[in-house]
Amino acid sequence: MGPWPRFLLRRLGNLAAILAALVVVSFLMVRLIPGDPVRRIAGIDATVDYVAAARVSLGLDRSLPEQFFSYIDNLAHGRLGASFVDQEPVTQIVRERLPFTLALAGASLAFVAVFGFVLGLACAIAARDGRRAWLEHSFTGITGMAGAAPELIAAILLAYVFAVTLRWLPVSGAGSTSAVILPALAIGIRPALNLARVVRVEASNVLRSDYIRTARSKRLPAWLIYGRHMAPNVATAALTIAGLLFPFLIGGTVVVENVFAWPGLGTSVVHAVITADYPVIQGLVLLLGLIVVLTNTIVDVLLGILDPRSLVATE
Amino acid sequence: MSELTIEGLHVVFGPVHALDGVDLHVPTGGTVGLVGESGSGKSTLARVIVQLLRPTAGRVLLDGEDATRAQGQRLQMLRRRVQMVFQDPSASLDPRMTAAASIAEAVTTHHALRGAALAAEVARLLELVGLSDEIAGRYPHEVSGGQRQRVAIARALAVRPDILILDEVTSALDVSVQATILNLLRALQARLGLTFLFISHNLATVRYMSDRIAVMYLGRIVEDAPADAFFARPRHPYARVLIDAVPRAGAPLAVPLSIGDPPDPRNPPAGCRFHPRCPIGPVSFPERTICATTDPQPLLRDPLVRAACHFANA
Amino acid sequence: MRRTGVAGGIALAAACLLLLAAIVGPPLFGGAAEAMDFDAANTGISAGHWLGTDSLGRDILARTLVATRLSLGLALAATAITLIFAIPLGAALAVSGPRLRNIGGRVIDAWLAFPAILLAIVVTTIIGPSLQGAVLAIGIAGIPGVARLTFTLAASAAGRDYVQSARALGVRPWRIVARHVLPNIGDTLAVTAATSLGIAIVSIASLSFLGLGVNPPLVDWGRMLVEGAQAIYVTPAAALGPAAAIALAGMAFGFSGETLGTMINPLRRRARNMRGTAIADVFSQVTAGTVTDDSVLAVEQLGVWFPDGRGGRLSAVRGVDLCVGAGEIVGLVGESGSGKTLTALAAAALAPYPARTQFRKLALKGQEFSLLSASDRDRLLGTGLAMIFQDPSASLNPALRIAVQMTEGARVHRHLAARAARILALRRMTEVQLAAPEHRMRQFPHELSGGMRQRVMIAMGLMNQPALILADEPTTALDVTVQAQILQLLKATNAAEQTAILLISHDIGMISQLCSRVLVMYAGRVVEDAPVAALLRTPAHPYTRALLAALPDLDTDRSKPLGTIQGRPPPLGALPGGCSFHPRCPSCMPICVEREPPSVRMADARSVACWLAETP
Repeated sequence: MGPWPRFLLRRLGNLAAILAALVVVSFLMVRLIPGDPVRRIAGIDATVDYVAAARVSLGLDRSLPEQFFSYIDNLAHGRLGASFVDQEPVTQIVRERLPFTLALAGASLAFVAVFGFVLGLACAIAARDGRRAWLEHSFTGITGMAGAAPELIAAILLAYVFAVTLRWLPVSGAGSTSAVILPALAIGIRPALNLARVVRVEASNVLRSDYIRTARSKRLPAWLIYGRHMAPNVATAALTIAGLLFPFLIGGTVVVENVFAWPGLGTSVVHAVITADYPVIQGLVLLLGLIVVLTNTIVDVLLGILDPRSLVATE
Repeated sequence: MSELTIEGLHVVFGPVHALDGVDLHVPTGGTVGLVGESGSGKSTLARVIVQLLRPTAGRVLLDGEDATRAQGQRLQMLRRRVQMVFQDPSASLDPRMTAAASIAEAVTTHHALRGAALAAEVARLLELVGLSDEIAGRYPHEVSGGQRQRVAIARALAVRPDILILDEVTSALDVSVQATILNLLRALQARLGLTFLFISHNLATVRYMSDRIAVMYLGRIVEDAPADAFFARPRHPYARVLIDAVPRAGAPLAVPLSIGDPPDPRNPPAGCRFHPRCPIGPVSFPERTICATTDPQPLLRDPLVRAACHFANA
Repeated sequence: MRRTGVAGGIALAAACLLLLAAIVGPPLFGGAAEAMDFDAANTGISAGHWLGTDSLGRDILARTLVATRLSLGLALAATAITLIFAIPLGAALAVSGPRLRNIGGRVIDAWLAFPAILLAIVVTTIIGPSLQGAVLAIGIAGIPGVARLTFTLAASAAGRDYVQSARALGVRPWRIVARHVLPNIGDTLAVTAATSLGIAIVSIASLSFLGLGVNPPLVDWGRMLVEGAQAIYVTPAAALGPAAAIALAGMAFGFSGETLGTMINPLRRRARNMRGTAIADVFSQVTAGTVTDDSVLAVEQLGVWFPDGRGGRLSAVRGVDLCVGAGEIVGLVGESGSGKTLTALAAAALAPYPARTQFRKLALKGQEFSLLSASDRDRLLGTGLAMIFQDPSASLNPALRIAVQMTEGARVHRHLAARAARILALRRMTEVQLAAPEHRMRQFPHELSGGMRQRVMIAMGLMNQPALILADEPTTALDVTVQAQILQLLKATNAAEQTAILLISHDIGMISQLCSRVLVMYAGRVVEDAPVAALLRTPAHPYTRALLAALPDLDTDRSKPLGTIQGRPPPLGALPGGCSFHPRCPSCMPICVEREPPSVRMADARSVACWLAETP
């Protein structure tokens, strides 16, 4: 287990470094706004007193280092501030909405993983060595259309077909469990097609490899060759891609939540930007960034378990 | 005319001493064959000589002139004297340039030729390596392996070097093609008075091409002798093993199984680097403890032979 | 434009049309886009309005076309930002020192991990929702991906031998980059640039949709979607218009990228099918008749051919007779293209699709393949035949531990229990001189050296006590001292267990040291079959003679040039008529040009396929 401690240490080191960067960025965001942010927040007609009071309440009257330390201090105590608009504590917003975003991201991830992986594998096996060339061509063509289905378009199209026309599924809100289907599909279609494409290529390469030839020369049954010899080698590539896709899934939730009025963090953060609700923006950017980084680290660890070579390769 | 001398060359990559004190001399117009297995450092040595790598210590001398850390204009002048032919011509020729373009690029790097004069020089070089004109307009993937290697040789000769480093130049070629390339190289050497450093893992080929043989192991030269003396009476036990390992019709397989696998260059053994695998070392003769403690220096056994072994000539 | 293909051509055409719309859209359709007609508000698709009208009665199609300029323009600006910063960044990192590379790489990876949307939110928070913000955000978000790609491409290009060769020649660095590095990565960069443009179009539209990008009174496709989404119940065309435009633009530029790449570098696409003139099979008329009943492997008239894609055949192996007796070591010698590997694979029923195998007889341990069911044949081959391939680093599964790979054959075919299989595996590994076998069992292939891996392959092959080992260039990828040990191992196995060996190689020296009998192959046929001593002393076939003369050994006369064979081996599917060797043969006679010589049995258990041998 020699390489593991080094590997984990590096990953944790990375994690800490990125978190630090996130904290700094979220802190600086407001301070970098050109002009006087307080004026912007308070509005054009605000009185001088109101502006001064707002400045104090925002903590913007103190020096930059002081502000930074108090920011860190607040974070350490789990205080993320409160919304300008309705004074709701940011932590409250998070508590109410995070589960919905996670549920949506999770559902779409499951869809992407199953659909992408299974479809890609099936096509690779069916079209191995150049059998059924038509299958490979049509598969490449269809997955190439992934570019045509970004979350926004997919969301609108799915909403139109399934909610407006067919009325099979709800189109807004999170009323029932079936309400997650359309948003999850909308987010997941493009990544799923991309993943299927990559999985098919990887699986085809694996099937052409020398070690599969060795397995065949041992006259092992087909299911053993595909299950034991092929799958782990494809899983590595698939997991790498899936891991890279997860940030896009989170990004996709922001857009799709707004189309389907899904009560997650995506709708909150966009609303906050439009209303210039800085504490909310700050807190949610930090949180969403944290989710992305944590997921990446988990994927890296899973990859390390799956493919011991990657532990050493990153040295 | 150029003779090549290497003195005390060291190259260190992190924990690995790829070259750990190499001394070698190649006389003008002669051929020294350099032999070694993976991890021996022979490719590293080649790259240092043609200035693709900087040594950590030591010197490379061309005709007595220190060429080691040359820069700028002086480096450019020195490049005209030493050139290299690489192992795999499919990789050493730019796939998007025709043979003529590749050779022309080499010519124009050092000589200001253009137009008809350039074309004439390219044609001369193609003819020198035995290629017909029609190869000039072809891309590497359109010609055979042997022809590609000839183009690579023509490219190296375009700058009119005195010394050629030949790094495994026949290893990637088919058997029947190897002979043609080797014959070509010998003819070119006779015609142009070239000095060769011939690097290969194939001992029979090295014997055919070389006047002297030098054996490398883990970054050092362990034996350096004239070819006939080398094969008739190898001094170093590793050289003996290499010769025994060459398959011969009807001869019994003579390599002891205790020889094991080539070592990890990151963790060289203490004392004599070869001692854990040595058939005449402490593994077979426990009283020879000196092999595990003291690093043998290359001694001149007779005027022409150097061998680095406490029990050489055994 | 030849190699673009239909799909690529369509994509390029679509992309050009979009660019055209961006340029001429506003002047041509500006009026129609603004013309309000409250009577015709929110109508669906009709003759007068192909995509219907919006809430103010404006024609959707016209508005979509007019909005092309802004959508495309902003995306182009964002992509320009991305490329201008990312490509030099990636290239610079590729040629800088290791520390800088390490840090730079980690920064890029961290940056890459962030969704573009989050970056966009940060930027728009600072700048305020605007089109400048959207362009900047998407431009910055695209940098790490392209930088990473450029870095990887430039680094691998810089490591190539042709770059090293140019450096050794003294070619100037800028010229190396311009002439050698960029053209060889330019095609991939072009693809990436086009793909980035496609992504940028979609991303900016998404931002505008969310209200973080383009704001009224400016209109792009994203803004049109805001209205369209609200009106979707009433006039779906209002949303479908801009949605279709976004999707089409994304696809068009995405596909065009690939096409552009192929145009820049025609070598991108390698021909997949083998092309060549179709030839009829030529089988020898007479067999050498060396097949005996107690042979371990008996092959008669083996042929392997590939369909050439036009109804004809490309024969790679023709009329091969091969026989390996019990406990015999037989060598199969030939250069690349001789068909020796395919012969071995076909004999092991492993010829890769789409190869077709045909034979008069193919039997292992006396059992004919054609008479067995598939599962019986698998069991026979699984227990009776072991194959050892050339490259041990690639022949073992990197994802599985040694233990699994060693034991699965025995568990499947002989139904051994896990413990019994493990014990057997340990014993076999000890027999092949692998130190610390218990430790090795738990390891992965990449933790073993080349020599150790090949030993594992041999031990693995011996698990079921096969009657025959088929070794295809087993030592070519190994060091000389390791090679000697592996050969010794094979010889010892043959002596101890009477395992027959069919050894395939281009190295006649190795073959002659180990084998009792040798078959020489050329252009898919066995041209000579003889005991090894006789072959070396008096080679009968001119090719064998020439091959032996071309190979130096430790006794070659150094003062003379090596014997050479003029010409090259014929390519598959373009075999010369008559004897395939005749164009290169120094003893060519008129009959050699016309008819292929049959394989003829000679005295002392030899056979040769040459017209010279016929004449007594």
